[in-house]
Amino acid sequence: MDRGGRDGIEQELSNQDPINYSSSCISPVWPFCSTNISNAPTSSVDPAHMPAVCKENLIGSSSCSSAPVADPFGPPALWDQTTTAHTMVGYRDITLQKNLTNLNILGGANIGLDPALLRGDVGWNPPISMPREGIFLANTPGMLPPSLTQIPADSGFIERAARFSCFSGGGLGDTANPLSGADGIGVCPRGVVRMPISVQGEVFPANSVKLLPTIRDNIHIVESSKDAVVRSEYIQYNGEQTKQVVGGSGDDSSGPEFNEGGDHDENEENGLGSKKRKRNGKDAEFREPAEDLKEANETRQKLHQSPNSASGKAAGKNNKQVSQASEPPKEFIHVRARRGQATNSHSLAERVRREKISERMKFLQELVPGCSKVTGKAVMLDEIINYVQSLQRQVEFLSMKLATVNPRLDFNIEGLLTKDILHSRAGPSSILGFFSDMTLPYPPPVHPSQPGLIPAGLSGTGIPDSLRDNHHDQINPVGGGGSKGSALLPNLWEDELNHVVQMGFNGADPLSSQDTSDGIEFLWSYYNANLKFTVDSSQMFIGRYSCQS
Amino acid sequence: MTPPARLNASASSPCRLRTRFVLRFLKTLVKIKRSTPPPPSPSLSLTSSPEKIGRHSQRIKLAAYSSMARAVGQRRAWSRALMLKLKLSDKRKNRYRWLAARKMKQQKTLRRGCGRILATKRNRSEKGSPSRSCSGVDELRRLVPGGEAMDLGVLLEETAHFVRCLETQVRVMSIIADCFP
Repeated sequence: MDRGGRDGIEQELSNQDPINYSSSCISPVWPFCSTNISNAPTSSVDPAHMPAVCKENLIGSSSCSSAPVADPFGPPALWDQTTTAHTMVGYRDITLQKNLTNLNILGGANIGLDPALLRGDVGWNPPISMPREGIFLANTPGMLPPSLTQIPADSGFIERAARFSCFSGGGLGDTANPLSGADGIGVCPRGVVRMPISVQGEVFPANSVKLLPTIRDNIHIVESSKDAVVRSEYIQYNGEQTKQVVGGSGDDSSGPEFNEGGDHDENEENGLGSKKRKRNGKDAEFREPAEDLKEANETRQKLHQSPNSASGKAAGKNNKQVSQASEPPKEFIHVRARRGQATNSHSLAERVRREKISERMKFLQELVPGCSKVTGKAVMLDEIINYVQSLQRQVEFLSMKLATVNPRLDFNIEGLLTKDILHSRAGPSSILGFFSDMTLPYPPPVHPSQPGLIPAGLSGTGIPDSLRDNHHDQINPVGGGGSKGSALLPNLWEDELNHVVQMGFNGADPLSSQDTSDGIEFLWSYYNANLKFTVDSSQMFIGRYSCQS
Repeated sequence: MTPPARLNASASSPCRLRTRFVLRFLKTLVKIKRSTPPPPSPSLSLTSSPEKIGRHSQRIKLAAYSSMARAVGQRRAWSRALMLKLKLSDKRKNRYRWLAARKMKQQKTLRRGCGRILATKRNRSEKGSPSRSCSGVDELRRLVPGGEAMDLGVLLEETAHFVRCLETQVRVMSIIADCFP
């Protein structure tokens, strides 16, 4: 199967998380956090590697107390408190102020950022004491997020985290990363975000839902070096709706919650955020970190002059405004709330999931013969189930047939059969021949001669012949070695096959691999029509064998 | 990476999967052949046919499925689940009990899977009516190995790949059966 990317991921995941990989790759990341800490390579992350990346993020976040993470942020306790507060966050709107304060807490060691925005000495009190529209911050400093299970896997939360991680990763790469030790973590968000991007902007992958909690903690580290916009957008990871994230920066910009006196900065942040979002709306592509930083800096400068520009946007309105003014910029998740459609993160996720399922149903429709005219999920599902059951019945029947045939498998089985099966294109025709012959009285003269001829004629044919003839003998499954001997056998097979071809099987190159599906379709219809003979044929076989010997 | 792209890519190289399956299946067949004592006389084969042939066919069927799962390897969830089941059955060294165990496991995983699915649906505020599509989806989960614990999207992917592998299996087995009428 050509799933190299997925193979790599699976191997990586299996190496790192053998516990939970029995399920699909798109399984919650929560279990991953319990796995051992390892730094997966982050340089060439791609969408497929998202699980590994998010796992890495998890690990990185969970190992926040480790040296590389702790150093830039000074006291690890601060970090713990930060993560704790963030983990315990509720699912309300988070204002920019809160983001800023959080950033301040985290950004003690930030470099390259506006020092006014950084408040390394800020304790936990500001974010905790900020009653934000009912947001509940469990300010238990000592309570680390032992596991990300505490974080409700809210889709909006995850979206925001993923969105933030996008910017975070971008910004990280550009700035002189103070968190040089957290390279892996820093890169991870970018990789994580790349996953949604690769889905071309229309996907809210379930992966991201699970990703975000993992990225959450990394964002703490990352955001310190990000622009305010990024941070503001990031901050709203705790269950807020994505739209709100977009417009969130505009919300509460004038919040009195910033008791640190950062009103100016907050508005600045809000303006930055809104402007950046608008810009993002126009350009949905994932921008390079350099661009992001540049734009952020530019907007920041502009906003310095008009700090109140963004404050006018209310939280609720901002979403609609942004969506109406320009398509909601959701670069991280690349999910666009179409005009006039619900922009709830839940409905977005639901829509993405439905699209994914319908896409796969369409593919199954092509795969299962006779389903092209069928419309509707339930009927399609029934057809698919019928088809799978019929295939399994066929396997059972063929195994029974082989059980009766088995006594005769003394001869050069491997050589013969490998050759036959390598004549892959003979598959459908031989199947048809089989079925067609079942309905017709099996020609008696053919039968006795074949067993005797098989060892004589075909045992001599080695594999090289089969490989050589692979591309030539399309309609001669057994007669590939006809030139060697047993002239009778190839003739018999050719007669059968000619008959089969005359029956109207796809005459034009019926044995190409592309037509195997057609062959199977024919077989399928034939099988359906002739279900009865399965039992009869087996009895015929048994009878024949008894007669022969 | 869309499923159609993935499966189409695999379709472009069907020979590899088919070759792998064929080789494994043939080896298993030969092994079965050797392990099965040949009937002392042709007439006896008839008299002992119903049960012996039934058992023999079961072994061949198991061989087919296991060789197909091994040919696919760890790449697919259904192949992994199938290999796990077969491993468990091998450990017990009782083929008949494997079927019973499979049924039990299916029931257990089905219950667990249903619970998980319903929980997931709740979490995602599923709009569609689960009851309507549950029966068909449940049936599909029963058919596809390891499908009980899968999400619907993943389940459909696995189903597509499983269907392809089944088709390959049928084709190969029919060719083999045709060679020895």
